[in-house]
Amino acid sequence: MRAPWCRPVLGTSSTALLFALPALIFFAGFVAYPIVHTCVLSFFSWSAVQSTALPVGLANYRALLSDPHFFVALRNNGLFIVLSVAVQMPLALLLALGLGSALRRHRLLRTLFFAPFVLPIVAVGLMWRLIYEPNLGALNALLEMVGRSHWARGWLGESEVAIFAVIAVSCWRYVGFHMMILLAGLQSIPADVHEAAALDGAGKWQTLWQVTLPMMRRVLLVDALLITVGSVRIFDLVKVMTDGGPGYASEVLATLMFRAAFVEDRMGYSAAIAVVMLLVTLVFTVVYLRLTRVEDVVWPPWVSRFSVWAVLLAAAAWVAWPMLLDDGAWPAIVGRMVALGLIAGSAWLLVHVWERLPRRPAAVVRDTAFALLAVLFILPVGWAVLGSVRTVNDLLLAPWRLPETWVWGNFAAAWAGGIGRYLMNSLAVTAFSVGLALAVSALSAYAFARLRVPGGLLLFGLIVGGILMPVHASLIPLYVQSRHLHLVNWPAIIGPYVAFGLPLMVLMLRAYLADIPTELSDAALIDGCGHWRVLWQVLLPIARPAVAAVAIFQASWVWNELPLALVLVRDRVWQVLPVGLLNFQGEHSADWGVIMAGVTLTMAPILALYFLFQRHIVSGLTAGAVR
Amino acid sequence: MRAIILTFGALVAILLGGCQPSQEAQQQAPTKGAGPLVSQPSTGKTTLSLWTIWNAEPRQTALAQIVSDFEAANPDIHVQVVPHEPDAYKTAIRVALGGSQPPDIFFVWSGEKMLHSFVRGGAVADITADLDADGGAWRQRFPAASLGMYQFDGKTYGVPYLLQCTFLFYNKELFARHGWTVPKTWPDLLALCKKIRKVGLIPISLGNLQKWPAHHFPCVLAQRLMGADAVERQYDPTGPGTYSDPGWVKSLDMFRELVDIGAFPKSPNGVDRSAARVLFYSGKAAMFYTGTWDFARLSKGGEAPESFWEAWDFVNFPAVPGGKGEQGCLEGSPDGYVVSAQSPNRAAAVKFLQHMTSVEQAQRFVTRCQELVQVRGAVMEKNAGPRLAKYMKMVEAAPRISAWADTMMEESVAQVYMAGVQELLEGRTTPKAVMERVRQRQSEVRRELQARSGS
Repeated sequence: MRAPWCRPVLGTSSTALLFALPALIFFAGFVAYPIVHTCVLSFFSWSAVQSTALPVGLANYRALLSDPHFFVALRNNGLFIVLSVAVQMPLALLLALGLGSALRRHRLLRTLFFAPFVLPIVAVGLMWRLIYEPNLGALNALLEMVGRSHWARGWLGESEVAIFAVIAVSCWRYVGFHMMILLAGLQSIPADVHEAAALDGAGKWQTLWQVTLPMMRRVLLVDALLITVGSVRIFDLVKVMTDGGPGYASEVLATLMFRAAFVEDRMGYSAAIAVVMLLVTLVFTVVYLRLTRVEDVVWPPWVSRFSVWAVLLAAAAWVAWPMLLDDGAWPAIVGRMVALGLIAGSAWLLVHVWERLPRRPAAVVRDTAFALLAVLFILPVGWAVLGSVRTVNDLLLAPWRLPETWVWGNFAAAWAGGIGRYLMNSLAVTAFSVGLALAVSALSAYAFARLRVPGGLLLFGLIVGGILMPVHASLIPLYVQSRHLHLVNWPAIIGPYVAFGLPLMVLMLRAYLADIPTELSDAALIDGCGHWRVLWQVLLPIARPAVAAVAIFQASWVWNELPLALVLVRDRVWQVLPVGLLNFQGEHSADWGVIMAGVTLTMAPILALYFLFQRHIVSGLTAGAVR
Repeated sequence: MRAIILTFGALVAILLGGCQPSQEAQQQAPTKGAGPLVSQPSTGKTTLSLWTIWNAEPRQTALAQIVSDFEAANPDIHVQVVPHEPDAYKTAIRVALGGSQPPDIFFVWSGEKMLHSFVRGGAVADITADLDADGGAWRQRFPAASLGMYQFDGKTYGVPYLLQCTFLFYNKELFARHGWTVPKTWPDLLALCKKIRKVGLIPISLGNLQKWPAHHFPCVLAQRLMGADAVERQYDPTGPGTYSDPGWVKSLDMFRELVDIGAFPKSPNGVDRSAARVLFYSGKAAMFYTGTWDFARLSKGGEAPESFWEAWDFVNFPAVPGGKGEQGCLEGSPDGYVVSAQSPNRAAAVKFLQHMTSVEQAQRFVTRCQELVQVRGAVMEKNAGPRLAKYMKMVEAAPRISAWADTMMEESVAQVYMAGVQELLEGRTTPKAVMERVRQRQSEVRRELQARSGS
């Protein structure tokens, strides 16, 4: 029998709305409104400087469809998605499988693979511009040192190569991050499952394919979604490295849109591009939501068949490729077939040797291989760190030698240039936005998971649809809005930061909260707890891993966000790190040594933190990411 | 499909229903996080905000000095300087002008790219009356040609400050060692490049990753072929310019000739500008077509090694025999400052610009920065080094100065042009095709502008 003071478990709709309200307000104000504003503007011809807008109907969209660069950009975004998934997922999986233990040397190796992710994107772009330099750059110099000078290219300067060079850097930077996510998923598989498989006589290979991977399917899907989202929205790296060049060869949708808006002042046209980005991303969200809804299927049935066919087709295409170029290419085709055979053969051999190899030698082989890979990974970072004590001509003229003169002054210059200030600002802004976003998203996640929100499904779908909204699409409306509200500096950016982080956080937290047995919260409710206390004192402590996971996602994008900070933070004292690093470039110069010193100074504390706390991060990510 | 429709329906619903409360919430919510951190303007004083791209030394300190002198003389005015990274500034200022409170005073590059489009948009205040007050005392401080760059339909919208020009820099030591002579004409230059190639050096250093450095070549060639007036007439998208003069294609053709004889480093589109500078001062490249902004980096105290500080010199770009243009013309553009049309502190802003462009302040700026300030009498014998003095003399002797295409072309046209030059460097397109695209874009821009002003 129900006591009169006991609240109904589902709560009234007004309580539910109250809980969901903060998230809805942030979302409506900073995501939905600017996006709708942008959609409306795409039917006008207007300039940011001239405030008169002329309705032009579909003219902007017609212009878009007749713009060849738009299709180049679409193709490049497509390449970005496909290659990022194809390179990062297997590599990240390999790293996660190989380095999943708590061994000290694995902790170190994981830190090394994670290091590129800690570098601010702007710094990564600037750094690789020098590494890729065709005449003096470190990469071509390295190729020459190892006797492969015929592999040297113009990299960012060659139309055919530029976009791949950028994608490679993107993969290099993000693999460590995805390793962490997959690692978490891996660790959530109970150990007894593996033991049972071993008892049943399954080999390592068989266990991997039939037990481990199927159990990781959700985290793999989450990860694939994250990579896809990142690839559709990719902006900063392309902007800093090639700005879409040479010509338009490495243009992506976001750079095209940014240039139309802020360089060429064709706001309506830019808005039309933004709308196309929205539509593209919406499709991915819907597909994702569809895939994750299938709870019981181990894989969507087409996946394994499809991937086998895809691999076979790719191999066949690669072998047949010379035939398309000119018809007397039989030696090349035969050569490729032999090479393919060798690769397949050695892979088969490797797997079989691996199965039979005793534990100790296998571990030694594995760790050595990963250590070598880690060295390769850390090389550019090391180059950057070393660059902080060199002069620019030393850096370019002798890229792989130790500095002739050690310029310790670069650190002093970076410090005097305010790098400490930028670092503290970025830490504070990140902390604020993560904290606020967590509070807001926890409330609404609870409402959507446990309470009856009127129109809940619709509102939830709406917020989650915001996962893929590119920030750039709402830059101008956000700016105008912040001016009307007299917000500059931090108050102006933290609102959008919270709002744009919400969709993913609400999605993940809701899923996790929904999975916590209702008996727990029911008991608390019967004991007289309000929903407020149930959430903060019962559910969130249990959901700590999920909270950690979403906090890391949120922190990682706020930490790197460039365009909003560029436009909305006015005073140098409040400036954040990505813009601060740009500030080390003068009108006609860039103080490379000082930039590298700045990068080193900012990287060191974060890497140290990561090294010390990675076990918490790993176990924190576990539950959150897989749900 | 249903999900898409639902989502869009909900977006609209939120917009219609949610605007009012959401604005209130925005005002409250972020202040929770960072309220006390908002910078408070000092009360009782007029605060002038000034946006600049002078974010590096020595210009930054020089500007700070100008500001503190001004504030000492005008205790009721506070000047808040906001330095921006130059590339980012282009974005920031456009966005700010689209908003409701742009800075009172801001930096501009002269020409179509910034000044003209801002003037067309009504974003910049007309200061003709201030310049003409007291019998034109303020106007007379500036060289007429530079100030002319800030005039539009007979009205003046800003004041020039720094003049930047491009010159052909060359390595004196390499030239002496190999017995090369400084090229006076275009055929000289081509022949010299071939000679330099033969000894295994790069004839002309070029870093075109940032898209604009390479366009200086076809730009100066166009001026030499057609004449500065003919070139400049083409730029204004509201005027008659159609880029139909064959000189445009010819200038790109001549540029392609340079590309074809291997005058540039490998893959110049992948070379950062600082790397191009390193190629030049390390002696791997014999020449470098760059601007006066590189003086400081190559001279005493700059990033170049000490042995190089005195090892280079600069000349005007060679003449093109048979060209219709002024063959001694310099390529350059005066950067300057303008007052926002929306500024509530117009009088104070003008007062500051008058202070900044006083001979005394200008001389101090020259002393500190060694740059060519466009105020008469700013550069003197005692405050200018030999290179600045030579530069000054060349400017005075030049028949005229013609601005670069990237500052003069309508911005989207300039983007098409520079992308075309990048593709030419790779041999992926033809001069004809590039100009075809430029013409097409220009006519589109004209149509858009006409439609907008007609409404």
